Amino acid sequence: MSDIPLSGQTEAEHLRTLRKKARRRAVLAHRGLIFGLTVVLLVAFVAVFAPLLAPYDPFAQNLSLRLAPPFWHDTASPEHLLGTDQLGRDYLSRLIYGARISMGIGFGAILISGLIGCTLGLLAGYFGGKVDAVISTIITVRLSMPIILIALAVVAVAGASLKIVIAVIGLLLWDQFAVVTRTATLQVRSLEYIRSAQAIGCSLSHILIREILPNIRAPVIVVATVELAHAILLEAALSFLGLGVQAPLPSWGLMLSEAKTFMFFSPWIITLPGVCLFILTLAINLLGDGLRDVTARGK
Amino acid sequence: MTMSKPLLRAKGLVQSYRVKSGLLSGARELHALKGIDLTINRGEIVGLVGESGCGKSTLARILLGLEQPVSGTVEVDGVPVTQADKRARARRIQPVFQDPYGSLNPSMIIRDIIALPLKVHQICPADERMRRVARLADQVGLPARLLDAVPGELSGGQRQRVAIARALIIEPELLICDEPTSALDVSVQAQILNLLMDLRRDTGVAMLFISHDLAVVEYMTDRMFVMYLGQIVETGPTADVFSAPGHHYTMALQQSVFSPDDDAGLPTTRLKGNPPSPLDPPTGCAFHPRCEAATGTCREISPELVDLRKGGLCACHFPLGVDSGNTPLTRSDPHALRESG
Amino acid sequence: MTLLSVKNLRVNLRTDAGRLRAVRGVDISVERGQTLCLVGESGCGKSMAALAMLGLLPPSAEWSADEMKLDGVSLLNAGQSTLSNIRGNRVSMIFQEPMTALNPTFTIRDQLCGVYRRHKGGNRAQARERAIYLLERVGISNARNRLDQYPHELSGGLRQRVLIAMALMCEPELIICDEPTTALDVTTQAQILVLLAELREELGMGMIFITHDLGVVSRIGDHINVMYAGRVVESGTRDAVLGCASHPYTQGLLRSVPRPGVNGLQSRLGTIPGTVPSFYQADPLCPFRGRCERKLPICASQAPPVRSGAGHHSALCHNTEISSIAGNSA
Ligand SMILES: Nc1ncnc2c1ncn2[C@@H]1O[C@H](COP(=O)(O)OP(=O)(O)OP(=O)(O)O)[C@@H](O)[C@H]1O
Ligand SMILES: Nc1ncnc2c1ncn2[C@@H]1O[C@H](COP(=O)(O)OP(=O)(O)OP(=O)(O)O)[C@@H](O)[C@H]1O
Ligand code: SF4
Ligand SMILES: [Mg+2]
Ligand SMILES: [Mg+2]
Repeated sequence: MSDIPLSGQTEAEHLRTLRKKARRRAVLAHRGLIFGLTVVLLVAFVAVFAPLLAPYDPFAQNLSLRLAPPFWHDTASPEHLLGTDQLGRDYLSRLIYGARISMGIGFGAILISGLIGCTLGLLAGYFGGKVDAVISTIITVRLSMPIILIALAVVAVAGASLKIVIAVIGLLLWDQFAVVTRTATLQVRSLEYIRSAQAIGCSLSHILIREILPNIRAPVIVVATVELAHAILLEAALSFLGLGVQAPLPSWGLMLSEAKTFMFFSPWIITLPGVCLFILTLAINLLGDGLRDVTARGK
Repeated sequence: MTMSKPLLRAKGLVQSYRVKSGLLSGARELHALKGIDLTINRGEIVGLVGESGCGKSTLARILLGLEQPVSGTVEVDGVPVTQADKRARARRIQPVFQDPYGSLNPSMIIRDIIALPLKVHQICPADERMRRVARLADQVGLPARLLDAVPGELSGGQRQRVAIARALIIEPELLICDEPTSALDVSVQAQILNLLMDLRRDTGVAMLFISHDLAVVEYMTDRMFVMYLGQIVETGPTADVFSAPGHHYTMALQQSVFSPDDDAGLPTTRLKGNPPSPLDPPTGCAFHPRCEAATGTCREISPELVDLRKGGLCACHFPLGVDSGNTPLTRSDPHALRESG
Repeated sequence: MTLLSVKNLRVNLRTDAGRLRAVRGVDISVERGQTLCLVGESGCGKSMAALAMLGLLPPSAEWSADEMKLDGVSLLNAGQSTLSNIRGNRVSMIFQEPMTALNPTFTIRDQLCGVYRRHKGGNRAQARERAIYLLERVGISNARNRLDQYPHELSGGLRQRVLIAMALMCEPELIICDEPTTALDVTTQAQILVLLAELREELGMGMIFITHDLGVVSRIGDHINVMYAGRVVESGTRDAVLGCASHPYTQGLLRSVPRPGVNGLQSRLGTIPGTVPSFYQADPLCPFRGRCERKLPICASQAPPVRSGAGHHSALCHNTEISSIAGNSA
């Protein structure tokens, strides 16, 4: 039995470790979160190390070995685990490089949209009044625009390239960031530590970036995951329509599009990229939900 | 008394907000401050008491430069300060706020919170900064091991010490303490009040001490202001205001303070009714609907602050302790008053 | 007969960091027509003790008691239906926060009459009459018009009066007030205290008054339980506890209150150094020993005894003599 009662700090430290443990337990017990996190990390890993992981050059054609079926078919070619496509390119390698394109576009786009959305949301929430009215109007206008149509129109006019696709998606998906950041900022703005920072004479950028942003990160991260999935799907849709990534780049959406003519005779060729896309977006959404559950619990 | 150059002088501060009172009704004007004059001298602790919503925090925010008044001026050392010299003002006037849970950024460590003003004003190099933080933490009685904690791990009293340390680190001349202890337990409040008294003795910093607790104001301050619905209704040296309150509201406040020594039974409150809404303030003296001594004059004419005794002012037609019969004490022409009010 | 008698009440809360022992063996007894004050600093378990008596603890809580009797009838094994029959009817509670204790979507009439008709039956008109009578009694002018207002249309003081009226709708035998005036202005607080005291007198109720303000206690309490870290460390009549405080904690508390007529230039306030002990450890020893200036070696090895004196005055401490005068109220 301890004689001296725990003093303030050791008690606080003790509680901190206990809470951390409880948080870790909650994370580990959350199956969706664990599944989502594992898949996303795996895909990210594959994307980063694509050149090392892919068995073949994804662009190398072998016209003598077209539409070779994957390993579970009797007629599978032993060299190509997941078969080849209509030009005889190794399908596994194309899928691996496709992950690179999907993740690259996804992250690139949410970086742009996060920057735009968070800036607008912070400004609207912090200043309120007229600034808020103007930004809220911009958000409403943006929300009333049909994303796919706008994206189609822009890409059709500006031409399709990787950069343009990232820019277009990034410039379209900031609305949720703005809405969530604005609400969270409104809640934090009136707290006294913001007032203290003003009274100290801190600059606007210090207040927005150092005082407000770190304290609203939880909802922003949740939005970021949802928008990541959204961006990846949007890229696939654009590519499928021929307005996204251009051949011969291997994007999952483009692969779906190219495969649609062959799907009756070689169904795997359309199933494989479809399944990849499905699992990745599902995982990202589960990750987002899980993060929300865990952060809400901590409060 | 030489009132040559007070540290801070506020003149005729008026503030109003537009508020929506209902779903369908339009915005209305809420007069939070209606012409406040106030001075604070060097090294002095000045108290400001009043009920919730009377405008104490609004006044504090204006003095700190966080808000612009509709009209009126704030002078520091006889020089009017404007929005432009925000940083200069920040170096001389610092706040300590009420809510120890809301006044520290939850995602910064204590060391950085206390050092922030030094960094913002680029006062000294980083290593000197940390030395100063350690010294100040010691001065406000904050254990050094807490410097690397985040605010969530500190108790209310400890957080308030951090807030005080942060305010003091750039050696301001004036601390504006907006109810610094009203969220704390009595035993913690006692520690913070003692700390503020020590700091004043050691550093000579002046303070505006805002509170709704009269006993605390009596304990802390040299001079005090009593506010009611956006106006100063009484002011004077604290001891005088307590020994002989002039305004009926001051009296009512005093009677509502309970001390554990009393066994006087239930309070003898003479106040009627509830505090009025600042959206439609009473005519004449704002206190008249709750005042025992109110007459027709009080309902119609708003009293001015007039000399009650040496160094004390009171805004009441029939101040306590002054036998004025039935003639109101106000000397000014009532019509002129109505126009200016 | 004692109106409410609780012995050895314990409340634990399950939290992320383990089991938080909020109330650790508290005895409470209230007589009819008397006020018992529970005093103590934030977090010492006052609200949890009160909620346990009403069966309103949060779901994460578990509680036990050796005895809990209302008017001689044990409530220990009472089911939910018995309890909800007692709540708001024979025992009612006024909560700390007047801003959130009323449902914002219902009018004052709905809320007042709802309680009455749930417990007492009766028709609409009867309930309305009683509501108007009580609103007038608690000092609300033109009560008839107020009935159709919503809570957000009332000021804090008015809301607290409505809450008091609501607590009185069914003529309770016991009323528990959890810091009913903490959120209010001092002048409003004085008015509410007078009102509560008058009503208690008039209706002969028992009252448990929870507060952290020793000044308020001195005006309204008959009997005082001083709580520290989940335990009652001193208990007795008001005059005994405030006049001849025996426990070092009570004495420290009394020294830390600024007194009228005292200025900081003349005298410093007394303080209690240190912080409250951990709420997560079961600890039979004196909870105050880490901060106590009268600590003896025995305090670190043996549980403190209950020292009692005249007039039910008792303190939980090794190093104290109870020398108090007998209280003038039983
Ligand atoms: N930004 C604002 N917009 C609208 N009304 C406001 C605003 N700030 C303050 N008010 C109103 O102005 C009046 C004065 O408020 P203030 O916060 O200064 O009172 P206070 O004396 O500090 O009260 P308390 O003791 O509750 O802190 C109140 O009626 C309040 O509702
Ligand atoms: N829902 C809850 N879950 C976990 N712990 C809780 C919960 N509610 C209260 N506690 C803890 O239980 C202890 C006792 O709380 P209680 O509300 O009874 O204190 P109190 O004496 O009423 O304090 P106050 O004066 O602040 O109202 C505190 O340490 C508090 O942190
Ligand atoms: S039991 Fe010992 S430590 Fe506890 S209050 Fe009494 S003297 Fe102090
Ligand atoms: Mg205020
Ligand atoms: Mg409580």
